[in-house]
Amino acid sequence: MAIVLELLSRKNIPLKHYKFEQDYVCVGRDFNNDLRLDDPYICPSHMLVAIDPESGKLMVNDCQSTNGIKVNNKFVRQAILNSQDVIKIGRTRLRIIDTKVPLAEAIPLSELEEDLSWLNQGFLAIFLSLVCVGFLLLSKYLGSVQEFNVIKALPSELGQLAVFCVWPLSFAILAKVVKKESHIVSQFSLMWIVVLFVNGLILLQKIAIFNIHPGAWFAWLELVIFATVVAIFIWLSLFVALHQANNRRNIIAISMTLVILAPIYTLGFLNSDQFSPRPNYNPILLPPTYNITSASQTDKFIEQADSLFTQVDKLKIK
Amino acid sequence: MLAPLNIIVTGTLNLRILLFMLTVFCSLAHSQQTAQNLFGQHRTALYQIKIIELESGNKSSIGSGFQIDSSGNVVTNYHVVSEYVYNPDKFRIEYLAYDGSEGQLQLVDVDVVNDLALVRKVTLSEQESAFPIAQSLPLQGSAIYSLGNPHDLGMIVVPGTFNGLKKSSFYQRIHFTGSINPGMSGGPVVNELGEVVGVNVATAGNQIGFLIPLAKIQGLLKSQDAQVLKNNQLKPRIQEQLLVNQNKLFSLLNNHPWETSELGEAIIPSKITDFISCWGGSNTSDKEALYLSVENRCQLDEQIYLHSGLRTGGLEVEFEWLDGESLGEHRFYNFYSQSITGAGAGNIASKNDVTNFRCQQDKVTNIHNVTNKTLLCLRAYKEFEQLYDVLFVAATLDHAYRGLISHYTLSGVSKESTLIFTRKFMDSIEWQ
Repeated sequence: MAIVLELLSRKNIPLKHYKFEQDYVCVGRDFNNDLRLDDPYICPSHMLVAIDPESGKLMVNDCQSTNGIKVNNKFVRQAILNSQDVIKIGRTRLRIIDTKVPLAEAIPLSELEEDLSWLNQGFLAIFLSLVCVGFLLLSKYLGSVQEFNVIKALPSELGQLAVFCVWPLSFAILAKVVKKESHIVSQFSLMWIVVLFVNGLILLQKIAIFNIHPGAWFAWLELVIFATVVAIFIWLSLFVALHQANNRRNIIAISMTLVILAPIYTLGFLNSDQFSPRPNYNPILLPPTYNITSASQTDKFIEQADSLFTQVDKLKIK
Repeated sequence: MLAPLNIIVTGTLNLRILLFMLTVFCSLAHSQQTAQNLFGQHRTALYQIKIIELESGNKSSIGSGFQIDSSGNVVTNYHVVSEYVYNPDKFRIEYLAYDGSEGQLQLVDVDVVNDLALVRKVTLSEQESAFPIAQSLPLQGSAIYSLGNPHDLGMIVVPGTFNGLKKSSFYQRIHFTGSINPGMSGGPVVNELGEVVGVNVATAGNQIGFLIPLAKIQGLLKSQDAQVLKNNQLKPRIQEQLLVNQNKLFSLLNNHPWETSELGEAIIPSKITDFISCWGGSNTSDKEALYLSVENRCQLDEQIYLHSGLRTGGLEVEFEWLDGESLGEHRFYNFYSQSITGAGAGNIASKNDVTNFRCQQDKVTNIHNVTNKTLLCLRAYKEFEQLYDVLFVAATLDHAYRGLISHYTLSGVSKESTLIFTRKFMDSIEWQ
């Protein structure tokens, strides 16, 4: 029957693991001990861990030490241990493990984790960030009507990129603190992919609006798509950063999405029909290449205007 | 002080000028003589009109007015009494006569289109004097005299020159060379015989004044014997006048083919009527611009004043030709989108007067095979049935880096006029 002792950090994270194939273990500062701890607050012979011959349970005995033994923060002279009890002698924290108690089942390894390993490539992250800079510069160029100067435009676009960097950096720091591994490259690759994807969606949105002039339902569709993208992004960032049960991750991702979207949309809805001398319309014009759907006739447009009059008449009553 | 008047002075800028200029007027000895006579003769029929706010018991705005008959009817400007018209429970109208006597006035009728109002003295004195109304307008260049009470300084007389009716205007005004100031609104303008030929209404500064012409005053005199308007009759009366006015305006606009001209590669309706003033401009002098922009704008010179936050009866038509060959397709269309962004109403209106705009947009091909992204926005008048403000924007989609933006705003129009005008406008654009 073996006794296993685990040296713990202050936050009870296991640091070191000792296994003894015997029925008792002496712990102290003396070199004769089975487990020698170099802690000035520990007596040369401080504690004896033994298996109780009758019950077969583990117990600790104080060997008349100066500073005593604390089990779960209570001083004891002798105690029978349960699993998960934390023992403190001097300034050292230990856990004594009963090898008979079965451990929890392993968390099934996610295929996704393997599938996402390609994100963790330095050259990919750098390439994607260059693509992002290029994209931002291109949209700035397309939005300009004056002579375009790349050098002048670059600082503001890099600044925008730096703002985006806050997200992957904070997840990397979180992961580093909790798990010691930051996965910063994956986080950055993920960020740039999402930035490019969202910009692609915006382009699609413009083309759709320009061609079909959708009604109010389109705003809801936009909301659903945007929320989904945000939720997936948060979920993946969490997935890369931390090992969590899926349920927990889902809940965190959904609640973070709500926290991000709720203020934007409530403000939007509160402001929606404030009086303005300027009408709210979509001014998007796209070159003939993107003009996919066919146009209607003047007569039809005038016919439709009839219902517009009814619509504004209804506003009077409110 | 006096409610502001708005008049449009020069072309591209729609200047709203208040009666602000205070100028010392020098004139010939002869006209001074006449002026003295006129003033002595008619001062008893000349009043300062005060709008008294009931809460504070003090005047909130002032203007001038003149009596036209022995039954106590006084003519003034609509804009002088507009506060009362919009809030009859919160204001009352009073007059202050030359001899310092005061009294209350009742509203008999308004003519919002010509900015006139007829009020009546509640109590009459034993001897009432009145201004005679002229039979016809004087000859251009004749001396005429504007009377009124500028800035609450006391009654004055300003000699000036009659310069005919303002040319090409829908809302007719007399062009008066002489200075009119705030507070003189509603005062009479008389010829050398002391007969009324117009009513002070606005100034464009620098000795240019505008008067309501004789014919409009004669129109108002039909209500001389009418009953006093009840509070709930005010808005329907105004609505009726606005509807008639817009019918008149749009039947003039819609019932004849529009004159066209070339703008860039397009043919556009340039001057859709005589009484609209048009201005043009381009950016050709800007050497750094990567695109060409040529503009053509037309508008009615005047709008109808309803209250300090609401004007109506206006019309603006605007075309802009854009050519961005050196920009390329995508940059041009980005710029093109920006150019149609943020169009706003052509008239001032507050949220108590009108609803928010609602828009309809579509790609439309007209009878000349020109395809436009077309946008029609409307807002309804809350207090006047059947009247709307209209905003229209269209941008052609037929070229890769060239386009024509066409735009108009109408205020205070009916559904029927809007639809006829819009159809005519949309189908009037063609490629060369």
